[in-house]
Amino acid sequence: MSQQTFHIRVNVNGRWYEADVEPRMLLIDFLRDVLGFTGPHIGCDTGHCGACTVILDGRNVKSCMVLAVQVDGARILTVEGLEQDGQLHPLQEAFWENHALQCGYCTPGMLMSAYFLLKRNPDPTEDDIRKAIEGNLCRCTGYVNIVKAIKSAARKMSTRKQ
Amino acid sequence: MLQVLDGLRPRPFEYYAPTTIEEALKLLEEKEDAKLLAGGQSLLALMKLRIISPPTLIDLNRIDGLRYIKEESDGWLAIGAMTIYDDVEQSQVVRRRYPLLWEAVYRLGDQQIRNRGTIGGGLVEADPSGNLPPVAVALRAQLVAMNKDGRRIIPAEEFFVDSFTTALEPNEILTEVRIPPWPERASGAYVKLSRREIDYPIVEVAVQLALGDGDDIKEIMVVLGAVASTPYRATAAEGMLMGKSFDEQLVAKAAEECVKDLEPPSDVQASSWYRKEVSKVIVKRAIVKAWKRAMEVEV
Amino acid sequence: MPKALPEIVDAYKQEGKYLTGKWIGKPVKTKESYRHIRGKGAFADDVQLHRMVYMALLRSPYSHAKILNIDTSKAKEHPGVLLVLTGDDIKKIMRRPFPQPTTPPARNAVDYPLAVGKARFQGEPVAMVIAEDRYSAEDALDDIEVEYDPLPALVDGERALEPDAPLVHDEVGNNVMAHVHYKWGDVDHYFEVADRIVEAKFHYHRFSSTPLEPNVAVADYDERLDIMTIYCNNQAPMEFLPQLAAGLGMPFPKLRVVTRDMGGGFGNKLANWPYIVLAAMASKILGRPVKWVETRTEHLQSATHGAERICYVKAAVTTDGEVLAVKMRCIDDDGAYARHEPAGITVWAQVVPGLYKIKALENDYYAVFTNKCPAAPNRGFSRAPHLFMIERMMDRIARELDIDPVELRLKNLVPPEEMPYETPNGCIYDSGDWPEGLKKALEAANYWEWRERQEEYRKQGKLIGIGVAVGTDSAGPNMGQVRMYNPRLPYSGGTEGALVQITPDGKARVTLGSSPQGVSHETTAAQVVAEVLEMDYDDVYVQTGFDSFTSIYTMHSGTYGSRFAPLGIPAVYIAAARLREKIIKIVAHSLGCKEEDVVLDDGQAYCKQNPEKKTNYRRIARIAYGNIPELPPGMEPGLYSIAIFRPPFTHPNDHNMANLALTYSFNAHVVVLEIDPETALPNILEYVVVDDSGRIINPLVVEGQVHGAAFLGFSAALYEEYKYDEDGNLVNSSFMDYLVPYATETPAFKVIHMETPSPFTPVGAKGMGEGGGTSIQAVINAVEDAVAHLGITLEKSHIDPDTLLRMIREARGEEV
Ligand SMILES: Cc1cc2nc3c(=O)[nH]c(=O)nc-3n(C[C@H](O)[C@H](O)[C@H](O)COP(=O)(O)OP(=O)(O)OC[C@H]3O[C@@H](n4cnc5c(N)ncnc54)[C@H](O)[C@@H]3O)c2cc1C
Ligand code: FES
Ligand code: FES
Repeated sequence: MSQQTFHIRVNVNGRWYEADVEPRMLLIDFLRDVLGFTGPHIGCDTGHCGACTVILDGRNVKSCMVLAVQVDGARILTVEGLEQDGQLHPLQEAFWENHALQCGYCTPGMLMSAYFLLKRNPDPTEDDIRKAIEGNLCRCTGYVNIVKAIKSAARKMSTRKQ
Repeated sequence: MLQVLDGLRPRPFEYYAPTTIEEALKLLEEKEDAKLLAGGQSLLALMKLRIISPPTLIDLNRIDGLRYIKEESDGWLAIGAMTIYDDVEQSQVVRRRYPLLWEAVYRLGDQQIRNRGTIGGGLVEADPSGNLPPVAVALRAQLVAMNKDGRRIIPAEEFFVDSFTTALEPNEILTEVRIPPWPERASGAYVKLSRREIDYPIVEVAVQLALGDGDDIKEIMVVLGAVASTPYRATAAEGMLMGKSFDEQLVAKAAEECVKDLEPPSDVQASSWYRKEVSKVIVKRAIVKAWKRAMEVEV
Repeated sequence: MPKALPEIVDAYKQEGKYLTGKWIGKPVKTKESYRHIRGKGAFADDVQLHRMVYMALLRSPYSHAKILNIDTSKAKEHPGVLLVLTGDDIKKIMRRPFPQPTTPPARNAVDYPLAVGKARFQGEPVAMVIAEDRYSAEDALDDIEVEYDPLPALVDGERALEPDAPLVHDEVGNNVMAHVHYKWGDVDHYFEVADRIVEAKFHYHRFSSTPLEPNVAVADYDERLDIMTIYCNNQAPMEFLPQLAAGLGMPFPKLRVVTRDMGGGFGNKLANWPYIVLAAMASKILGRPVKWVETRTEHLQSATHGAERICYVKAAVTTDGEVLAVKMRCIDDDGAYARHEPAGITVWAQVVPGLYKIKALENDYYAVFTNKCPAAPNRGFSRAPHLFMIERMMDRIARELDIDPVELRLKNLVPPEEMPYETPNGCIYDSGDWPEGLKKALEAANYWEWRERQEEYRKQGKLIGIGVAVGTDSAGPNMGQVRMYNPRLPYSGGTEGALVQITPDGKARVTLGSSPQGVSHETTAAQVVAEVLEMDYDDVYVQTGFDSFTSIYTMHSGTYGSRFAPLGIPAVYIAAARLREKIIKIVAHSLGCKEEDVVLDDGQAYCKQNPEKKTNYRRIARIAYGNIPELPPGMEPGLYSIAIFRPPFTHPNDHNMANLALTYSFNAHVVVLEIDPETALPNILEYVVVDDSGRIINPLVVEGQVHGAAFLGFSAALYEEYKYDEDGNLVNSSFMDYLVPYATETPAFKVIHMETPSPFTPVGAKGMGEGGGTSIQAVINAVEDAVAHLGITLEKSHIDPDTLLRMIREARGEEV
């Protein structure tokens, strides 16, 4: 097998990075092992846990189900990029205040799915929220406080806008 | 002995990202056993577990012009093969004209899968329990394939040849799904039964029907998934309902009839017996729902 | 019996002198979360070391097979591969297999971290590869060729005891891992005088709560200093340090085991040490750091499962519903190796009579080997299955006597006036008003209304079930319990350590003996320290995780058995209290007043007589560390305080009697659910939990634990079960088939708190994290209740729609 490598340029959390990658390298490994963004996690091998979720060109995707070569030229937002100028994102604040996490392993992915939801639907119902995080497993919280936190962030964000 | 899966990273492969369909077709001819990469939500999963290890991937994501939902002048709806599920779910046209397609996509995987997985991939994968195959058959969709000599059209009913096998030739690419216009008073419903929302169905059914002048059925397609190696068209049930007026009892009878000859598979999620029993139930529910929708007494 | 003797209660009594309520009881945002919400968690797989290499394991596809030959020559040639080892290689390196906790003949079992001679469960590692990167390590596994000779598989715990059953360990000669026979109270008498004997068989199924983060080990051998550093996510590093030390031939002071953030544990990460030993050996051979990260499939297939338990239960009852005594015959299917089990054969003895005044109990109990994944604790270890048997039995008794299951419980619950209550085997239930708690839960869930409406719904063809269960999380275990199956184990008592230091800048530094997995120890420890030392919560810095070079530990240290609140927090409290006393001495000396006149307030200190003249922790610390002559004469410099909390636990006596846990929290679960009569799919309509875990240190944390425990039980009952086929293949080893629920399946649990402080801990807090598994029994009770009128009974702790629909159809006389 030939040792093909590709030179890719990717914008992660507002900064451009360049690297040579083997085609089979998964985006999650690229983010974690090559660029050092260890926020997104690996929790499974079948695309079921969502711990690796990042925003790729505006949409939440599972970064274990995308190849690094495929994101050449793309913009990625990971959990590390949610904070702006030292200010927590309202979702981060809400997760903290509502104790929407215990071990924190699912949190980075959960936040990104919630982020996509609120961008699309600023006023979600409880069912909308549950549906939006249906690809993100949490083993610790029973989801109760996660749902609560997303609701509360949505409320905060809409009042801030007004 | 089952396969023991020790890893989560694919074996090495060559990668090409053509920017035109012609280029992709050429690569497909040249590279032996190459696989097309669409959303990757099935393909990469299998490659990560090393269940399959194609030597070459040809990525379709850099080809422009394969992602669209178009209403054509003759009333057909054309969906580009690389259109992601989420686009279909968000499409008002789809939701209005083909509620069963909307439901099938809404209930497919999760948001992340829908943001990446494509209509083309979901059809070509031909997973016996995939959400789309029965819907494509029920809507009498046509699938447009391209090869180096041009394009050909394959009716959905002929597309699914066996489990994970379609009528596509190895050198062909699916480029479009075309859904015919249905009469004015037509509607449909898709019902999936699964233990978790995100899961592939244990059983699923797609129903599309059109009414005559009253609430009588003029045309009907009842297609089950996950009960056979390919989408299963319940022609007996269809026959019982043709020309009939709305009657829930009759629907229940038709549903019974429709599963009579079924021999669904058993697997870790459900036994053959269970699949057969609940098929009855969801067929009944789906037909009633589609019928009521067509009569405009329910959304 | 009932009420415990005053001298025993006195021996256990603890008081907290320095509780103000300024920090304890407050919903302060957790310290840990601030990292996690920014993606800055420090998990084991986040460790990146210079020159680090990766380990991958080749695993047996057979559940039981002789290993005839392993050819690693091709793998060794694979580019990037540095080392390939098989079981035989490991055997040579280790010289001795892992020591066995069992008694002979089970002790003859031979356990190495790679299979030697034969594989005993599907997924058992048979060879390992170390390569430069993760991808090459996985690639090289393809190049190893193993010749197997498959043997008949043993997959049934009851079958294991039959004389002609396949042998898991030939060296043992049978499949018995342990056998005990306990008898507490005059069981025979009660069975004679009883009005009625109710019998049932129950089956606690195989599942694990499977934390989202898989097992991880990074071993870094430093040749220059001859120190082995292990970054891992083991929940009780001190439990495996002896194994590691023996495997490597290194003394404890040279072994540094570190845990930091851990992505959940639930007991499943107690027995990952065979892998840690492998990584450590490889690191020592190569002189390079070695990382191993388990895949999800590996985790589900071969990490650890909660033991499966089968019990035949008989209860002696009176017609008016008094439950007098219980006889049981149980079998734990512990899988292929004794890696933490057979501890489960004794641990349930913390809760022998459940929450009831049952006077006597007998159990003839086996733990057996089978060709399945080795068992280890799962949230509610051993007590949850026992409480399942008791709670399910209560429902059965109620049905046989035609009493409402709630009435039966209220009649038999230990009443508040008998607290502290001594159980027939000498355990002390410390406090609580259990009947009141149950009533609160019923009220919140509209129990009586649902009961009334249930009949109505049935007439409409709807299947509504109402399930009630009570539970206790017996917490802070007395490890002496393991001596009830092996009296020679040098392991008893229940302790935990902590260090509290005021550093020279006046901040507090705290280290803990625990290795938390998302249970907010940094937060609750900081609240206690801030409260006792009257300082700001933000000025208290608690070291993340466990570090055998800096943490104060005992051999019991770790995070399991709901032990932080009953054992860890007292250690923190006592260490802080001692430091407080020293600080007060320094202040009194330096400000010139009596100790009793010193006031500590928000990081400052002054004398009552002169509040204007203040000093603060920074100045006090300067004196203690640098300006020594200003210390009271003779006082030792520095502001370190170490405490190890020791409750007066004893060994079990000759009758296997002892107090086996320090605190007993209470919970009551009420579930209302609907079963679709046509598909048997469940839908939870109402879920209420009342929880009493003593004094609450942080309501956010406690509520989170209640949610989590309820969730994992609910999911085990309705979604999660490991399924083996008759050849010992695990047929659902991914998250695609092992159905862990998402938010879309999970109900919104409602939680109501009660607060009955424990008299046995200084803060009054009780352990509660495991939750006693109550939700499983509540959910199964509810499902059974929904279909009981059809004559259906449920044996298992898990029910899937396929099975249930079949039962419904059969009960209705339909052909299936
Ligand atoms: C967690 C999870 C849950 C899921 N749940 C569901 C579910 O409930 N229902 C369901 O239906 N699916 C489900 N899926 C699968 C999902 O629908 C996949 O996206 C889909 O099966 C494949 O689409 P894709 O675009 O990702 O295709 P890929 O994975 O890229 O490709 C699939 C196959 O189709 C071929 N192919 C793709 N496009 C073309 C083309 N244009 N022409 C020719 N060949 C092509 C590829 O070569 C490959 O063989 C789930 C997946 C995951 C990971
Ligand atoms: S790691 Fe589980 S979905 Fe990506
Ligand atoms: S907080 Fe642990 S998995 Fe969600």
